[in-house]
Amino acid sequence: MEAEKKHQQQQEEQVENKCLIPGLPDDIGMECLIRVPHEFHSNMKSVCLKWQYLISDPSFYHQRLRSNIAEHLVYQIQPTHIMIDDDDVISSSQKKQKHTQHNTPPPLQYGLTMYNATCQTWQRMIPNFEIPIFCQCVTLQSCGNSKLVLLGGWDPKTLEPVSDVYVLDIIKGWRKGASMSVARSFFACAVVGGTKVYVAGGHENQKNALKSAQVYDVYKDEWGVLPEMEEERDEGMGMCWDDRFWVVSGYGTETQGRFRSDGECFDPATASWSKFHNLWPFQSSSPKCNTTSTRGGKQCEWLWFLGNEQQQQFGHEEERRCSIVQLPNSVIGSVSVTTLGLGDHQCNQKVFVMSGNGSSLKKCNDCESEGAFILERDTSNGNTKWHHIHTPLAFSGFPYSTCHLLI
Amino acid sequence: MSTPSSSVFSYRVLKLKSSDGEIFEVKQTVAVQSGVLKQMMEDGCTEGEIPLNNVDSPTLAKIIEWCNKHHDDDVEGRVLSQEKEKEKEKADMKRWESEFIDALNRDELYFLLIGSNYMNIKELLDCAAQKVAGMVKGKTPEAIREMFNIQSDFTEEEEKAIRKENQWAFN
Repeated sequence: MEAEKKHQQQQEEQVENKCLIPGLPDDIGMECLIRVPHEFHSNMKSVCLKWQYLISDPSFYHQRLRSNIAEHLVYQIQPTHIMIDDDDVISSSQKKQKHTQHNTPPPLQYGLTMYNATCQTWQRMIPNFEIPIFCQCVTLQSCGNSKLVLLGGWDPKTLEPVSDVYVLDIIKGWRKGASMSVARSFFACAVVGGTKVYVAGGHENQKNALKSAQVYDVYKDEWGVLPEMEEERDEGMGMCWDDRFWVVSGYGTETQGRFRSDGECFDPATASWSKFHNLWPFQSSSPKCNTTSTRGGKQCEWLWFLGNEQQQQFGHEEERRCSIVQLPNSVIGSVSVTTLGLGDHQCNQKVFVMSGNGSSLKKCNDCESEGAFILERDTSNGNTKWHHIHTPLAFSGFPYSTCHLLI
Repeated sequence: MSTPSSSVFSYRVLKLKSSDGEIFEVKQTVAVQSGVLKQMMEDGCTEGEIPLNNVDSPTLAKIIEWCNKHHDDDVEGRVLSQEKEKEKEKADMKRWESEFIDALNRDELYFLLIGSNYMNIKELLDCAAQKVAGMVKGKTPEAIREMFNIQSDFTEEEEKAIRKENQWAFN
């Protein structure tokens, strides 16, 4: 033991004496290495001990943030088999494939996708386990210790709800986390307070809607029980708003598919739920699509992305707790939205928006479906600007869950 | 004491002395790009030769070439009315920058990094650091070591373990 310690100490001293890049002082070496894109960090770890320590050190990530070169990553849980009805947008080889497979629809399969909004690259991540269908993904942002957490969903083979939790340490890799106490799917989920993931509602394996709620301390890998909500809420939307956990809408076992207009809010400070009425006006859809909570400057905002039709349906008697963003006319149906936080200027907010399946209005010649957009929004006046993102067909499936990390 | 305005800067030159004793004359309007020289001008201590002990003459020549290119020479205000024109100008500058940096060998690049850091020329430091970062991209650990002359200090077992650990990332 002693000898081992001594060896480690010696090793650390040796590393201390080495340069990051021979021929350059370390502060300049650092200036260079923080500029290497995230994609190559795992390779950098294997160069030498000094680089390995660097990649694991919070200061590396602090400096990337400070120098404004941190990258925006968007993680998505999305279907990997894309079905498109419109023959016009399918290439000939895909047509052939479609023809031969006509009678056997491909099994439901979900994958984990990473879109790097800074480098504009799409990647499918292949962990050593199968991604549960409809699992929730959330991220915890921390310099040098950021995590991506996948929770619940269905087993891809049996289609049974699972209680599994998987944690990706962005530097070290995947591990299995402590499981939820119930197999839960279609639940509300959000990170509140930086280190904890709250889950509530959804349904268990008998398809009963749930009132129960739990909280996961990601860094301790421990689950805690929360008081039950007043109502059953299957397919509710979870969000963090003013450091509290909100579960909006959802439906009970007996009223399946009819989305409630109320919601409940858990305050960690008082460890209790409060109920709020008239939060959500659309009975036929969940606020899980088309809305997101975001921090606009100091204030929290709840953004609703609505098309013309929805805006007409939206009565004005509801208490306005949201800011409405007009969707481009070409976008039809639901969108998945994730906020990327504020840009270089305090009032320049960016939101990643993924549109539903392909429409005939193609935004760029290379994209076979409408795909993704980045919305730039000026929080001081609400002005918006839409940028289409090239979205290869393999990454165009409508995501069930999306989250964002700045690294 | 009042701070000299930029119009005063333009008609004066600074005498910069490289570490190997060569003198370079630089217009003050060009030299303001260096945080260090700008501070000296504001403090009014730029009389005579300014010794730059960390920068040799080939590097200083390069640095001055960069600063001359990036200095908006028509101080009276060249108005770029068209958005397109601005875009083009930006693209041209980007191309010039990458050609400038790509033409350097590794040692020249390192000296330029050290010099621009010493003189506090942020844009040049950014650009040169970006070049070094680019040299890491897409390379195997072995190729990175060779490129930067780094000795591996992993044991064979550690090396194997790291490689295995790295497989999780992407396909």
